[in-house]
Amino acid sequence: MNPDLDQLNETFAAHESLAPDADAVLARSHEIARNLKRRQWAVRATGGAVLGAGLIVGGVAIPRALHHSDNAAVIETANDAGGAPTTPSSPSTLAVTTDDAYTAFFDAGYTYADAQQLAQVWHESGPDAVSNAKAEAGAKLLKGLTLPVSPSGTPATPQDLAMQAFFNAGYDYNDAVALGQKWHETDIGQIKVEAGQKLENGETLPVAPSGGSDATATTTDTKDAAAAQAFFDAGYTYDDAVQLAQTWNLKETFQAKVEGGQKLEQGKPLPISPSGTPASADVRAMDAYFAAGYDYSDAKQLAQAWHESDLGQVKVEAGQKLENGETLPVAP
Amino acid sequence: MTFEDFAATRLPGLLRYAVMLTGDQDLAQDVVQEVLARAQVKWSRIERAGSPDAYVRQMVLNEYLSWRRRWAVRNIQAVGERLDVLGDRHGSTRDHAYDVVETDALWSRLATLPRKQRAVLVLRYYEQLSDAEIASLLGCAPVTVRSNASKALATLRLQEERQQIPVAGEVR
Repeated sequence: MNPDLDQLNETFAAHESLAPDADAVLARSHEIARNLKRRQWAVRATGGAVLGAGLIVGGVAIPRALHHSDNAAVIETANDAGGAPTTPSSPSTLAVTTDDAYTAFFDAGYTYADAQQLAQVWHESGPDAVSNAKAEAGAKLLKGLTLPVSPSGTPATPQDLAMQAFFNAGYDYNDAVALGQKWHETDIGQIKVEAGQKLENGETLPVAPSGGSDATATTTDTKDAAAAQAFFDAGYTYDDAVQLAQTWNLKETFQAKVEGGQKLEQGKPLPISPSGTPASADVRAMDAYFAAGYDYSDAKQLAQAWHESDLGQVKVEAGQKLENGETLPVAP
Repeated sequence: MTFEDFAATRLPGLLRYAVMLTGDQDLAQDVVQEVLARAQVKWSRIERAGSPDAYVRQMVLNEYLSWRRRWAVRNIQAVGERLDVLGDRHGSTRDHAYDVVETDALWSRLATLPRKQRAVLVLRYYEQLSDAEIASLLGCAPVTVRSNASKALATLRLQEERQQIPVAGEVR
């Protein structure tokens, strides 16, 4: 073996000990995931909230309502592009997931550093500031709005988008290998691109996807996810789930979260106390509002019915009523 | 495989992989945290794709490659400082710690590489992937992988003399 490459391998091996603590990383990732799930609801509401309530400054509507209140706000942008103000379109309830928003953000050539800059511009703070900025920016891009920061990277090429189409259709690396055998191609990257282009053109590939698309998520998945969310909302943590799984002799920690969440939803106590802090009553009410299928435009209707102007407060009050088993004057 | 099973069995390796890519403990933590959070939100989809490990590793790679200038500047400055410290501490004395100094110095030089070049070296020599596999992960042609590897090794002042890994049977 080449001594230089031996040295390179030794160098890699010698620095494996720099790997961060897995437990700390996992715990933090659970917190971020929890916020991501919340933002999925928030972003879902953004279709109306951003456009209806944000004020246009420097060619961009600031999504204050995304995770604050729905009150209009004046926020100065650090990089006023000087473009013509964007006219807000009518409120809508376009469902945009955080993944969609992230994808749109990076596909437009924006980078992590750009997200950091946007977080500063939008006065985002806290450990999730950059993630929030990415989600907000992506949601805005999907709406065709301009951001106050130019992308410092290169926008996704048609090849990138084709490859994305390939994966989005549920295909994976093994499928690309199988396609390569059929097409007598060895360049796996090129195969993915060609296959993705065919998919974009509505053509069918000679190999079925090994994976599946998001659209195949089952009702059970959704219910389980809701129960697990209730578990976390009550202040329980991943470590608590591990403990419960042991107590209940469950093989999977996720199942402990689901069963724990279901018990909590039924008002039954769990055998251990939560290690974390429960979500605030307002957050729970807001969750209940969106979980019931209500959205931003419904909140506007409710605001009219209740003569309220603060849409954030309307959602919280509506959520509280739903939690109390009451019926709202507007259907979801 | 549930997300918890995945985390329990694969997270340590994933963190080592992220450290090799980023060269920075804190950044590795940030990258993996962010990726794991996104992964668990859409775990059912990842699981259905059939290769969770490959999928999440690709996410880590993409996250690293999109992580830009600010940290890079900070990191390169830190490398400069670190080299000074190493020089002061070790001087020109060659003793049993020489190998440690050499690996530290090479680690520091790795930090000066463009991200894609570093990624190629990590994927080639740490992950032991073929150039075709690396090309697939990076979305480029194998010739681009070879070009990046050559440039990176030249910058590191290392000689390339690599056994070719056959393209056939590319599945990891």
